[in-house]
Order: sequence, then C-alpha cells, then structure tokens
Amino acid sequence: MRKIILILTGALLLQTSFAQIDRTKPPKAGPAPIIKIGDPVITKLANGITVLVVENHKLPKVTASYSIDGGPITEGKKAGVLNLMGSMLEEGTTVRSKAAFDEAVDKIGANVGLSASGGSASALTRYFDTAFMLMAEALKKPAFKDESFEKLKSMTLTGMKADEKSVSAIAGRVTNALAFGLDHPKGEFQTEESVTNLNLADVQKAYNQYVTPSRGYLTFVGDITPAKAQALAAKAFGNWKGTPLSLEKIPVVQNPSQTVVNLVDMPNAVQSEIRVTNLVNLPMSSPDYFAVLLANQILGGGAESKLFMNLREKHGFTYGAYSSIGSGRFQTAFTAAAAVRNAKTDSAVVEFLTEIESLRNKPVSNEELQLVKAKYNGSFALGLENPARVATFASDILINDLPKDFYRTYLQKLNAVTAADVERVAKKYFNHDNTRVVITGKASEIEAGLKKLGFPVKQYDKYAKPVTESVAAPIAAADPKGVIEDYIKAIGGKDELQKVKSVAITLGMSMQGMTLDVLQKRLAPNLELTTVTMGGNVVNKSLFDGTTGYQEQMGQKREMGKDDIEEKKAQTSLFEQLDYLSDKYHLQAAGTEKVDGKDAYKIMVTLPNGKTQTEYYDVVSKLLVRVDKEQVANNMTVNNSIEFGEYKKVGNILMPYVQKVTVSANGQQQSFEMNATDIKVNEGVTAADFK
Amino acid sequence: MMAGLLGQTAVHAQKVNFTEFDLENGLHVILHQDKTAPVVAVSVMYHVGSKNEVAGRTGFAHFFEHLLFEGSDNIKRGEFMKLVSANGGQNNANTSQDRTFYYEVFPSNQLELGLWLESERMMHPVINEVGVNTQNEVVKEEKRLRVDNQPYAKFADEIFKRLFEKHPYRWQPIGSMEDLDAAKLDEFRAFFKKYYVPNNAVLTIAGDLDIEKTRKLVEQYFSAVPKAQPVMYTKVEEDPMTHAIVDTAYDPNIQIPAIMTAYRVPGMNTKDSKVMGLISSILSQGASSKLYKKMVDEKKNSLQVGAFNFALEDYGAYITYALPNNNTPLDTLLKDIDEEIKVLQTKLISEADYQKLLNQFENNYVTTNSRVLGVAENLADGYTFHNKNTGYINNELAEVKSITREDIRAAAKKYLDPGKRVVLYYVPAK
Repeated sequence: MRKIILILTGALLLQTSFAQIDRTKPPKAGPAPIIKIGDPVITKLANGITVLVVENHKLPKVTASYSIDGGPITEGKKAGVLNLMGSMLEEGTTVRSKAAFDEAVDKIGANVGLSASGGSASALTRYFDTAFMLMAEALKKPAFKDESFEKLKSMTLTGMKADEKSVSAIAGRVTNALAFGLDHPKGEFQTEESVTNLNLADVQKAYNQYVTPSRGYLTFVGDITPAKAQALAAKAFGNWKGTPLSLEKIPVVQNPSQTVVNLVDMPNAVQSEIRVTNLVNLPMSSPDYFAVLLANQILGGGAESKLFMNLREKHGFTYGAYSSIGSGRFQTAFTAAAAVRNAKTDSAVVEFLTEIESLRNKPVSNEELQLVKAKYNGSFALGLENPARVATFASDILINDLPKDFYRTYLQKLNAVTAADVERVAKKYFNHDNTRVVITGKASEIEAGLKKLGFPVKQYDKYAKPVTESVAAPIAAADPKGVIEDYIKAIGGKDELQKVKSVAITLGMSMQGMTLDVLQKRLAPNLELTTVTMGGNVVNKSLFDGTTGYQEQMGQKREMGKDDIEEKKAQTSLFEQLDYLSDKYHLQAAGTEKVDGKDAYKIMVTLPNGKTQTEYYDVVSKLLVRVDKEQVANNMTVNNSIEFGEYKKVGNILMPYVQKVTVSANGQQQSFEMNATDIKVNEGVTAADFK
Repeated sequence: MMAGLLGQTAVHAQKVNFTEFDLENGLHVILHQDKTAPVVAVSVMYHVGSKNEVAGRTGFAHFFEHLLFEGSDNIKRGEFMKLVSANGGQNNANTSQDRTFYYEVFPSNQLELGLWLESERMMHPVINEVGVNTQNEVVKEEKRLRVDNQPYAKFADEIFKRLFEKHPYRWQPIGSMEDLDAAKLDEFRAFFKKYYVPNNAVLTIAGDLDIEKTRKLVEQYFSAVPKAQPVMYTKVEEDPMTHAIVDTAYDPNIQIPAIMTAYRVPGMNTKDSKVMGLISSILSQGASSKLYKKMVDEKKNSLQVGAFNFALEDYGAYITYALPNNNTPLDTLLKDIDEEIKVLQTKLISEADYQKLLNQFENNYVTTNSRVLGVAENLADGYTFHNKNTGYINNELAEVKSITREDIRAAAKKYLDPGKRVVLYYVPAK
C-alpha cells in the first residue's frame, strides 16, 4: 500500500512539473515572425542588361542566371525552333568542342545550363568566375554544328512520337490551342511536320533574333559582393551586341459567348481529361490579384479545396481535381482540371460547373478563408529560405511595373481579403455561363452523356482542327458476317486467299531510339515463326510448329500454354477471317467507332476457346483497321491494340504495310510502329523453318 | 587581401554549429540555430528501418511511416496533416533500410506546434484496426504507383535479393504486401513499443529558434514520454561471395533493356564507403565522366550509364548500369564498363581527375546544407550512423580530402572484383 502511494505521489509530482503545457489542444502560435526582405543591388550595363545582385554569404557558393524577357513569341510554321535552338546552345562553342566544354564545367564541380531564353551557372565561390564565363561563352558563341542539329532533331521527333497516344499530353496542347487559337503563341504547338521542316539556318536566325542583351536580366545570388558581380557582368557581357527586342503585339482573344463542350476523340483513353477553362487578364498590379489567388486556392488549390473534396473524396471520380489561374502582363487562363473514369465524364463536368457556380454566388465561410490565408502566409515565409527568392521578387517588380513595396506588403494585402472579395472575383474571373469545357477521351463511350448536358458539343481532332460530322446519315447496323465477307473480298477474295500457302514479312521498328528487325514467317494452315533481332542478335523468338510452340527471350525459354495451343490449332488458314464464317466462331456487331478519324464497324469475335477479341473494319474501304485483344500474364491484364494501315498489293492480295501496336497494362501504355520493308507470298518459307 | 578575406568567410560559413543533450528518457536532442529566414524544421529520426524486420513480416517500418500519421490520443484521425497545412507548414516522412525520418517545416512562430505534433506521435499514437486497414490500402496504392507501374523501379529489389543471402537488406523497405496482410494488430503494437521509443530516436530542430527557450519546450513536451527497453540489434554477417551470380530479371514496364552489376561493399561508417562514393563520380558524374563520355558521347552505344554507391549502415551495394542505344548488345556495354573499372584498378587516376573529384564532392556537399531541413537531417545522420558524432558533417569534407589516389585504386581493386558480383540482365517482360 505504501509503495502504491509513493508511486502515486511520484506520478503527481511528475505531472505538476509539466503542468504548464496542455497536451489536449494544439499549442498557440507565437507572434508572427517579422519578415525581412532585402533589396538586391540593381545596376544596368550600357547594352541594356539589368544586373541584380543578392549578396548572401551563408554558403561558399554563387549562382547566376541570365533571363531574356521576350514575352510570348509566335513561331508559326517554324514551331519548335526555339526549343531546338535552346538545346543547341549546350552543344559546344566556336572556341571549345562539346567534350571540352563539359570537361571545363565538371573539372570545377560546377553546373552550367542554357536555354532559348537564357542560361544559368552555379559553382563554389572560388570557381564561380570560370563557370560564369563558360555560361557567357555558350550564350555568345554557340558552335551550331550540323551534326548536333541532326542528332537533336531526331531526338525531338522520337520524343514527340512517344506522346502521340498520351491522353494528357494531347489534352494539354489541344486545350491551349482551342482557348487561344492555333495562330496564338500560347495556342500553337510543334508538330512532326514543323520540326521535320526545320533546318540549321532557322536555328541560327532564331538565335540572332532572340538571344540578345536587349531586355536581359542578369541575376547573381550568393557568396559574392555587388562590386565583384558587376565587374564580372561587364567583363562577360559588356561588349555583347544583339538585336533590340520588343514584345510582340498579341490581339486579345475572346471567351465563347456561351458555354461549349469541345470533344477530342482518343479511342485508347481509359480516363477522360477534363479541362474547364476561360481566358483572363490579371496583371499582378490588379486590385483583384490577392483575392483571386485565395479564391483559386479555395476552389482547387490543394487537397482541402472544394474540387478535390467533391470529385475525389465525395464522388470518387478521380485521383485528384485541381484548378489554377495565371497572372501577369499577358492574357492567360483559368483552368480547372481532372482525369476521370470514362463512365463519369459527364457527371464530373456537372460537378466542376456546380462548384464554380457556388463560389460565384455564395460567400465562403470564415474558416475556409482563414485556412487558405494560413497556407499562403506559411509558404511565403518558407519560400524565403531560398535566397534567390529575393531576386525573383525584384525582377517581378521591374518586369510587371509594380510598386517597390509590393512584396513587403504582400501578406498585409493578402490578409485583408474578405469573403465578399472572394465572391466578387470568382464572378469576374471564373466563368460559368461562358466557359469552355475541353474533354479529351474515348468519344464512343462519353459523347452521348456529354450531349445530354445541354451545351453544344463540337468535335476536334488531336491537332485542334474541327472534325466535320460525317455527311451520311447514321451508319446502318452491319451484319457481322457481311462485314467479314466484304473484308475477304476487299483483300483479294476467298479463292485468292486460299491459294496463299506461306507469307514472309520483314518489318522494321524503332523504339526509343533503338531499331529492331522483325521477321515473321507463316505457313498454312497455322505454323508461325517470329524472330526479333537487334543489331544482328536475336532478342526474341516465338515458334508454333503445328502442334506445340515456345517463346524464347534473352536465353529464357517459355513453353506455349495449353490455351494458346488450342487457339492456334483452331486456325485452318493463314487468314483467320476465312474461319470466322464457320460455326466454331461467334461474331457480334457492336456498332461503329472512329479509328484514326474514320468510321469503322466494330465486331466482337469469340474464338473457339471462348476468348474474345474486338476487330474494326473500315466502313468505306472494308479493310481491317484495328484489333484489340486482352491477355493475362503474371496475374496482370495486358491490353494489346494493333492498328493496320497502308494496304498494298502483294501478288493478288492486299497486305497492310504499317502496324501500330499499343500495349497497356496497369494504367501504363507503350506504343510503337512497325513498318514492313518486304512482304513475300508463297516464297521464302519452307516447312524446315519451323523445326 | 580580398581573396584571403573571401576565403575566410567561406571556411567559416561551412561550419555547422549545434547544441546537443539527452533527456532522461534517452531521447537525444540536437538544436541548430540559423536566423537567416523565419523558418524552423522539427524532425525525429528513429533508428529503425527494414533491416529491423524479420522475414515473413517485411514492410513494417515503412508501414509505420504511414501509420504514425493516423492521429494520437489528442489528435483526431485525419487531423495531423490538416493541422500542419492550416498553420502554414509542410510535412512528410521517409523510410530506408536503416532509419525512419519524420519532419515538419513551419514558419518559426509555429515551433511549439511542431514539438507537440512529434511528441504526440512518440507518446501515444493511435494504432487500431481502422488505421491499419486504411494505411494498408494506401501502401498498396503507393507500391502500384511507385514500383509496379514504374519502369526500372524493381531494380533495387532484383539486385538486393541476389546480393544478400542472409542479411535483411535482401528485402526492400516497401516489403511484401502478403506479409502486411497477414500481420495482426498486436504485432504492429509490439513493433511500435520496441522501436519507436525515445531512447531509439534523435529529435533535431533547426532554423530560426532560441536555443534556451527551445530546450525548455523540448523538455516540456518530450520528458513525459516513457523510457523503454534498450533496442538490441545484431548485425547479420554475410559469408563472403565466392563467385559471380549471373541472372536475368524481367520488367513489364520497360522497352529498353539494361545491364546492371552490383558488388557488396562496406557500410557507410567506413572510409572505404566514402572512397566508393568518389569512384562513382569518376565513372559517371557529369558529361565528362569516364563512362558517360565514352559510352554516351563518343561510342554512342548507351542512352544512359551510371555508377553509384548505395551506402547503408551494415553494408553497401556498389551498382553500375547501362541502357543500350542503337541495338548495342548488353554484353558490349558490360565490357565497356568493366574496362573502365579495370583502368581504375591498375592505374592511378590523373591529378586533374582527382581535383575534379574533390571539387564535385565539395559542390554537392555545400548544396546539401542549403536548407535547414537538410542541415537537420545531416546532423541526425551523424549522430545515428557515425558513432554519435553529430558534427560529422563538419569533418566530412576533410575526410574526403584525406583520401588519396592510391586509396581509390586499392578500393577499386579490393571491392570491384568481377568474380564476386551480381550481373543482372534487366529486360522487358513480354
């Protein structure tokens, strides 16, 4: 008993000694920290370059950046030239090869980078001069070698191909193009055609025009005195001359007069990309500026915001829904966006518009307003840990013609915003009755729902060009057997196809810069050998000899599964469609769908083993244009889609010369294109090939 | 004169000052003052990672990284992160094989809130079925997003399970979803009681703070956390490798294959671990590095090539990899990499290359101290992994400068033995 009392006393003592804190509630904040924002030292070189220096000796390191304030630039037919030109600045100079340049940078442990609108250099204090002079050299004396240009151009083209089936990439470019127009610098985009047509002279011309001291800002941040920095600036750039730059005059673009839905068909989409967007003019000097920042934060700035809470938390349509708004000297956009499940596309559009409308017409609660103010206050303070922030503030003030104390009174102005302000600016900047809803997704699954929303729905292609509705009346439902018969006729007829005993196809394919050669040999009724080689080495081989088969990859062999063997065995001809007409196969028409912009009949084929695949036959040409198949490998469902094109005559039959393959699994997608270089019918294949 | 002055500033600027002390419950506390911005970072490093797990129950440490955001006796479920953002802060956590690191960064007037949050988490977090089930789903989603769905993301798993036979480094922190599904609530509670205790943790606070006031606040918030049993850990010794392991791994998310090699090297608290870090720089840091220049720029047979020292507490894994360009067979790439390693083993690197190396190291090193959160983590690392030497970051540069060209050649020879390594053909799965 005594012991217990002692323990209790001990516990009490312990408690009293810490009684001053109350664990049950979060502690109150201390007084707000005084935020000190220093001023950079600003001077000007004779050629017009503004030099800003932020002296900060915390670390023995200096960073410099050169930024040319060219504003939005219309590239027109030369779209893509500025990107390429920027990359060319990193390919060596007239006094140093690329290898020598890289060595010079690495030798001192520095980082130097260049782009079409400037460059940057950072290094330890004792090596900073060298790094800075290297950046200046790359900017002033680029080598512009043909060899580099060809290398970068082909890399750009390969990169663009990888994006052609990316729903989010297409959504981004089409939304801008539709909102601003294709002839607007913020609406145009580079295409395969525009990049292919570029040459080195275009790059040189763009360089002469846009890389210049005119409208240039040179910023130094770190362990350097203003005097030292200014001397370096003068040494590197003092004598530099270039074309005077003036901002382009860009006409103001109007928003639609009533809300419209713009639909871009991407048949491979498993999610719809929704962008609700309207153009705004919001200079940073606008009295609305701070209220708009907060209004957007409340609507869609983060995971506590209305859009996220509604579309993800309440409805589960999407992994995330957000909004953003641009500001500055040029016209820009407000955009609310999400990627949603196909089936919920129209419902999600309704929720977007409802949330926007509610913010426009109902004052936000004090709690909501305080929360977003706290977030902005916090991130403003946290941002000051980066010494470069002070320089950004200063150049913002210069470029946007803001009062000198803009950032010193930033939080004061932000904290003065009221719920009434938020409502007022929401009405002014977030459109509801005259906005543009751009949907990039699978039209066959989402168009009907969208049409029910009551807004005009207009279709555009991946390049933001309007799609003309097919003139013909709705296509009559097809008899599936008739579609198959038409196809057989179109590629040469049953008799000709039955004469085909063997086919040998040589295909080439290029994937992320690698070239693979594919040789496919087939022998009636169902023998098949596919060999994939890379630089002469076999990387993949698959064989079916009529009774069994295997697949071999990198020395690993996998026997063919029972199911696949059955499937193969069911085939009695090199053209499986000939078998489709027998009772063992079941065909079902499933309406029409667009394939590569053209109407095609969709036919579901059930194979004798019960598996199904979907085939698409062009309404006009009758040719097979696409096959979709599902496979299960390692417990994962893999969707294969092959598009066929460029049918050409081989002997008496038509064969496709282009196959575009898209493989998707787990929400990830890869596509590649195979081009036939040679197709032989009834020659070059013997039974011995399948041993 | 001018240069001399600047030089002095530089040397001075690099020294990170700190105060440290222990609470009675064994919590080690490190305070670092930096008033340059009104920002404070509050962090706790628990010396627990996936190497403290047992086979059949992998993924626990990483699971706790998530679970300990579920709330406490005084913080309702779902409120932890809200409290941080509603007060202008940012927070996160991460888990390695060796430790788990939780942090908040706040405007400096919210220091006390950060201390309250971390002490609540240490003292009485809520560990119940609801939280375990919720976080189980979240962790699975994370694995799908970060590992299953990402190209090349399985490389670590594929390499470590071949490089280590006995040591828990043979599995990755994300662990096995089957193990997590099978684990009972009691097992999670027991794991918490064993490892997430003050005597196994370092509280590091860095930024705009007053040392004495902060010390008092720390005592107020953390002294009430009860002391626990000392944490016992015995390093599992691996038998030396006796032959090369050559194998193939398949990844459904890639189109371009890769060739990888891995060597077992000493743990991070050794000089040789530092030497291996330098060897990585010689081979692959920057466009002028040996492998990059030869294989990407000159021969153009690789899209990418790299070498790095995956330094961990008990051992390290020294890894090289290359992705082919223009149909180059993987064996050609392996040969090209091996040739450069052979050169390092037989010849001293040039004086110029040696200087380049030191410069690159110093530049990286200075950058890691540019934010208070980085300083906090570096200090905690020093205490946790370098014999309780919190000031390790202040000696690190000197230690690296003491490494000679001969040391580099010797380490390359000793550890990069082609007869004792893993060679992995990492290829697309059909």
